[in-house]
Amino acid sequence: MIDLSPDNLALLTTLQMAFVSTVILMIIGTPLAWALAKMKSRLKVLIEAIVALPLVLPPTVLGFYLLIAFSPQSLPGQIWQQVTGQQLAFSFSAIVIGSIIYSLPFVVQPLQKSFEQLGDDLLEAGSVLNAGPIDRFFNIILPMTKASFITAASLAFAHTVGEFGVVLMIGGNIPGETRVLSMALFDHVEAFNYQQAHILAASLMISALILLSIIYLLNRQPSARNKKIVDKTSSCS
Amino acid sequence: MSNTLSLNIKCQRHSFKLSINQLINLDGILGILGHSGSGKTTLLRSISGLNKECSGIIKFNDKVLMDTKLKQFIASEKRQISMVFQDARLFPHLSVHENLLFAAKRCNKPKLNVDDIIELTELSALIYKPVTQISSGEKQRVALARAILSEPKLLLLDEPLSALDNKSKIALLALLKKVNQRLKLPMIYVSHHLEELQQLADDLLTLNKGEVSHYGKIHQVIHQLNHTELIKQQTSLSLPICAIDKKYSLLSLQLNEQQKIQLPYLQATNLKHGDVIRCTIFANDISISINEPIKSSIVNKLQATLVDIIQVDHQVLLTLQCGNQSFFANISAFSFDRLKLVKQQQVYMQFKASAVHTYNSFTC
Amino acid sequence: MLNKLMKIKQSFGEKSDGKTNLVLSLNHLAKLAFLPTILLLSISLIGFSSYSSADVLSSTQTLQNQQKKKIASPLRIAVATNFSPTLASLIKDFEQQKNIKVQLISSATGTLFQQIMHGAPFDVFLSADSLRPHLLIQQKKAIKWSLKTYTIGSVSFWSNTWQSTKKIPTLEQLVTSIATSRQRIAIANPNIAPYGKAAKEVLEYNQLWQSVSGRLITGINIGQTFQQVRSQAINLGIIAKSQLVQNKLIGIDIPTQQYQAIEQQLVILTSSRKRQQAQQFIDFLLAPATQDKLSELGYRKITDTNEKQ
Repeated sequence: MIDLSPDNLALLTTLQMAFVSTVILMIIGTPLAWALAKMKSRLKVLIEAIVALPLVLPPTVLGFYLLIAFSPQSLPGQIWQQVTGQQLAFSFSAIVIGSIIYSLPFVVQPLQKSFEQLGDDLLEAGSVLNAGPIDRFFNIILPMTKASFITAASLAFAHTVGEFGVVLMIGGNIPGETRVLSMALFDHVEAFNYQQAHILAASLMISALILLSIIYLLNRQPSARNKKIVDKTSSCS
Repeated sequence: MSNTLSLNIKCQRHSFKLSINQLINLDGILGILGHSGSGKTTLLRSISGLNKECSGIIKFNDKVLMDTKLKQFIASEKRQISMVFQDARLFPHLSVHENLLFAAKRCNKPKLNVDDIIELTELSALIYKPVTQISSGEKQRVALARAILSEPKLLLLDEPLSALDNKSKIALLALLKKVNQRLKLPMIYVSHHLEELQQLADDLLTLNKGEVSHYGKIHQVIHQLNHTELIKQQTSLSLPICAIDKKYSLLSLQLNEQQKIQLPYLQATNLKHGDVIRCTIFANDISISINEPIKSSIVNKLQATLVDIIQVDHQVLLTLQCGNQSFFANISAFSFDRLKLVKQQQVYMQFKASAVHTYNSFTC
Repeated sequence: MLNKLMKIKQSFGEKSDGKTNLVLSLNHLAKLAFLPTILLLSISLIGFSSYSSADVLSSTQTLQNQQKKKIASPLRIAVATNFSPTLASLIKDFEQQKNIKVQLISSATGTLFQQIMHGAPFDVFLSADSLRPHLLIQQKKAIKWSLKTYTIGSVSFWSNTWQSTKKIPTLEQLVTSIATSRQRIAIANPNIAPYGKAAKEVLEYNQLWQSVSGRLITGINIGQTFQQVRSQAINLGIIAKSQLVQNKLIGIDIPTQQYQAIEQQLVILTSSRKRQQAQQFIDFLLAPATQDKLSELGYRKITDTNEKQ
């Protein structure tokens, strides 16, 4: 086991938190986005609003209520304790759950939009060709909405890495478990370690910039491709 | 050998109503004629399982596809009924070949060979192209090949020609006929253009305001429809070729032992002696003469007996019998009175060669 | 609107004197900007009127004082959050005695420090530690001779479960149980919070630091630590005694020799234009009567000294 410096440990913890959160988010966000895309009842508006809540709630508000919910005195905290034998408050699981709630709209919204744009036509074509629902998902929906999956995952990841308010409330700043980069940065500033703070902040910004550039690059490609095709077909006829 | 489709369904949505109780025999191609809003697309979608809003019973060859009372509903992917849509609906992320393989892969116990079907549908030149780079006529051919490759027990076609230009329509109609004959695949073809159905379908079912108004063999139904306001009055025929005149590009069809009908034909088509051609002659194009017209530029001249007279305003629809074949002619009331025509009278029918329409020549 | 713009363009093309053109375009800009400016002004007014920063005076007193005193703006006191409720309860007396209107700005010590470094318009800064006032003096943001210790903080052990059970262990029992059990303890971050630093010293004094440092929950300040223990998410923590007293809770006092005295210091800022009033406030805060009150609220009097090695 290599002994990591506190900042590198914070980086590792942040990456772990972001990775686990993103994976879980994609797993629960995809069916939710699909259900919302297909829903026609008035309930849809309510659920969309609930999903979008973390976008407008101050992170500290969310963190505050999560702190109460995760505490061993509250029902969710107790259930967790019974099921896993571990305390939920101030654990890695706690910040993962917090990140999931906080980044949910960043996954659900692009996916939902993409599913809605897809429409039913191709899926109907698939079903008359003997393709069942799961088959249609993997062989029609997924390939055609690939870009939005990448966007959703990247946004969730980036958003989680930058999280501060929620982790501040429910984290407890435990090295290796809940002490993430944003907390480390804050501590450096408070303790007047400005140089380290600069280094951390700069590396966070650069990574975020790179990640966002990749997202936008991926989102541009399809339209560039389409433009070429349109030009080609017009010359054919 | 014969397939049966049993329909007993009702649909109600806003002001739209569909109510059908019919047993249909599917040998060959069934055409469904109806105006927009008559329910033909809803019917097709109910048969395929894409529409879940109808209630009732649908059975195909005694297999229950849907029975609302017993809460049975077989999902469309399990019905082995395939469909060609108006807008082709090819998967844009796959090439032509991959689209075909998509269907072939999902067929249990495939009997058809992919390459054979590619040949049959003349797609070999396009096979590796991305679907976004082919014309709409080509897309429909691919859609047809794809639907065939899923090896359905019944193929549904929902106005497949409506987005195509004339040349592609003609080509695709010929292809559908070929496919039906070669693969013995029962088809239901829906359209609001009678010309397509007249050329292709063996049986015709007409839908009017959500209900079945006529059902039977194609020529019979068309002739029945002549007495409604629903179609342009015409004589619908299936006749064998008895001679091909290459010099004058004329085709001769054997009407009966003594009489022939002649029509122009395109050199490009490879027709041969004995092939059966479907053609139609609009009632407005048939003229009546009491005396035998001898020196006339009008090519077709047939002797017939006037068997029925129906007058509507200033038009008179005449039904004439020539041997076993009924003909329908429309003349003005003025001419009718002038000629003093009576039932059982022997008259001569005249119509130009170009008035005999077949799929080479129709302009929709 | 487009027509107006066209007119301006035309007028620029004409060879009239530049001044008229300028006036014209300014006029037009003014017309364009009219509506948004009005909107912005109204929003700002609403914002200012609802802005509250622990303005303690009641409305009638405000009116009276405004009539009496010469200067309109209040004395701005920036105070660390942990001392803020205490100060709020004392300030009424000061305002009545001296007839000076006071505005309290309460925030984390670190935040206030940064704000002052970047020109925040405060008059007095009450820090939770002694480090930041010294830094401000170094950076010439605070007046050197104004540096004073205004109170000394104490720390206590506390668990939220002690209220209900009323079975509070002795300090020795508690130290033993911490050493042997695996339970987690909440303290403020020793690197950034003075009460956290003291907590660490306590743990070191009791030879608990080695075993405990792996199971610490550190809050960004003593306020967060108190909240964490209060929510019972953590069973035990080291918090400020003043927090216990003010919330009428009972904990275990920690003997003052176990940690270095938490000297909370204040300074007058160089940018202040109310040095006289500031000094009056400081005199009030350091007066024996006030210091007595503070000791009732869980603080130590500034006359207490503590020499720990």
